[in-house]
Amino acid sequence: MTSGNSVPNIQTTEGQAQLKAMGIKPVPVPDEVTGPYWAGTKQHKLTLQFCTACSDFQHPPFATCRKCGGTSLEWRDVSGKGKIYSFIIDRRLMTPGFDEPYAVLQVNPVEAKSDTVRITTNMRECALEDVKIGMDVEVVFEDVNETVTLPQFRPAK
Amino acid sequence: MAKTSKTKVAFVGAGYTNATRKLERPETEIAIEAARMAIADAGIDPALVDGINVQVHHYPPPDTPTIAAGAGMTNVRWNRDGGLGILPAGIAADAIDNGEANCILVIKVMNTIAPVSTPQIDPTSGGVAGPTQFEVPYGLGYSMQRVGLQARAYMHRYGITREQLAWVPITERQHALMNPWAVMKNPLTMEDYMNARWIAEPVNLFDCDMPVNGAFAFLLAREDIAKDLKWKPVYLKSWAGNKQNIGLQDHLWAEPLAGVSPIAEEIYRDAGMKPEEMDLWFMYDGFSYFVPMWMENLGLVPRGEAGNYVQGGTNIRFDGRHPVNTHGGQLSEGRLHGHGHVLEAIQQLRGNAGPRQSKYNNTAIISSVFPHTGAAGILSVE
Repeated sequence: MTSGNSVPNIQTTEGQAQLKAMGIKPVPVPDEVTGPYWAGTKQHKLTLQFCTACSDFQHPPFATCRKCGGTSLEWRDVSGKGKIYSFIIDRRLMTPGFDEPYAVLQVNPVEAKSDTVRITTNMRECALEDVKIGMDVEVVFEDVNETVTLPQFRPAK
Repeated sequence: MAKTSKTKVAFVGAGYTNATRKLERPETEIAIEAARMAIADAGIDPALVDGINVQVHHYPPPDTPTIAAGAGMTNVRWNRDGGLGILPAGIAADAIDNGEANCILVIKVMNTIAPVSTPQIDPTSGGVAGPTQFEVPYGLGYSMQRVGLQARAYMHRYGITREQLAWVPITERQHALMNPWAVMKNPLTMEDYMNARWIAEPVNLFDCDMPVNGAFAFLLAREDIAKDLKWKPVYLKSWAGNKQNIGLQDHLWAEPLAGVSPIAEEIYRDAGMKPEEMDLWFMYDGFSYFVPMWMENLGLVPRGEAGNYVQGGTNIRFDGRHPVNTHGGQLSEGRLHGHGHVLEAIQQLRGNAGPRQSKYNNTAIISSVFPHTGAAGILSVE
């Protein structure tokens, strides 16, 4: 940035509004723990961390198992089918990159034993008033740019 | 404060500036004013106040040594900043118990220059690093959205309705109308609530607390000092905070609690008291949904029963057996980030709460911040 341009201060409401007006689309920055998840979505695969000691998945990824503290974590592909655990309809928060109203869901993958395994996502191909807890959904992959693909969910077919 | 405590520690002073929608004076000035009020309220020589904690949520914070000097504190030997509500009170009480200080001032300075949470997005690349990389790219970046996800799952699990939980903001507003410090001055009806605009459905305008500016201070002292001061001491019997290393996001994947929370078991055990002995309930209400969740976490009502319990408002009103947030809470007094709850508990237990005074005022239980990650404590006049 040149000194003539002001970088929005994201700690303020005004800065967030500036980001939104600029059309900035928030994208994940993969790191050493989360890298395999985003590498998977890039290949249109949903791959989740699995603790072999607990015999269950965990999400979001973490350096250790949140339940047992162990490090016997591996990555396993899942089907992309799941059920809606909870959701909100955002009406007016002016979040950069989003046009209100939109739904934010938490989805339990069918392969997970615990309902604490929750993928945060948006709803596709469904009217907002039809979104319900317990609804069967499936993943669709959306390529945001050359490096980032975001998994989204739609009603199961 | 635990069974191992050597001394008792009491709240001995309370100080408030006005809560205003805009910051009307420099924040250091209002912090000093609240500090002086709390010290004067206790009737203690400021030179004897030898510890200070200041909490803000914006950057840069006001200068703590300047506030201490402005308050006349010439012998500061303990300083640890940060924490909301009962948490810094508990940390201060432990420091007094450990002999690190005799009397500690705890101040919250609210400055709405910054929202409490914003999506952390790199303003040039749009990149989101760290734990929120799984949320912000999906338009989830604010606390009320996270609360909305939690609230909908909670209501669905137990069959609790918005019409039931509406009695939390409605009753708190009734209390605020009896509290001169409260920013909200008009009644709130069921119709107002049900027709309010959505923010992040199921969270509407009246489910969110009211941002205010101001400074709010309380003073804690060792029992032998407290007994010689102006008011009868209000003892901090026990406190506990979540000991896990936790972040903003953790409640998003948290297990729904089945029984009472571990911190509730800890505070009842350490105080040697039972949930049914808690007269006044000060439940953190940054969002209305926290109130029923905290009531259940603390074992004050059975799991899943908070909706039935608050319905109609009579159980939680100031003239009920267990009044809830008699000051109006953050929804209607204003967002004092847990300090309003502590200050009101002190006034109720002293018998100083005016028209909203409860006749059951021997004990109070206070919770602060998110139900999955917060702190709680027990206050008593004995």
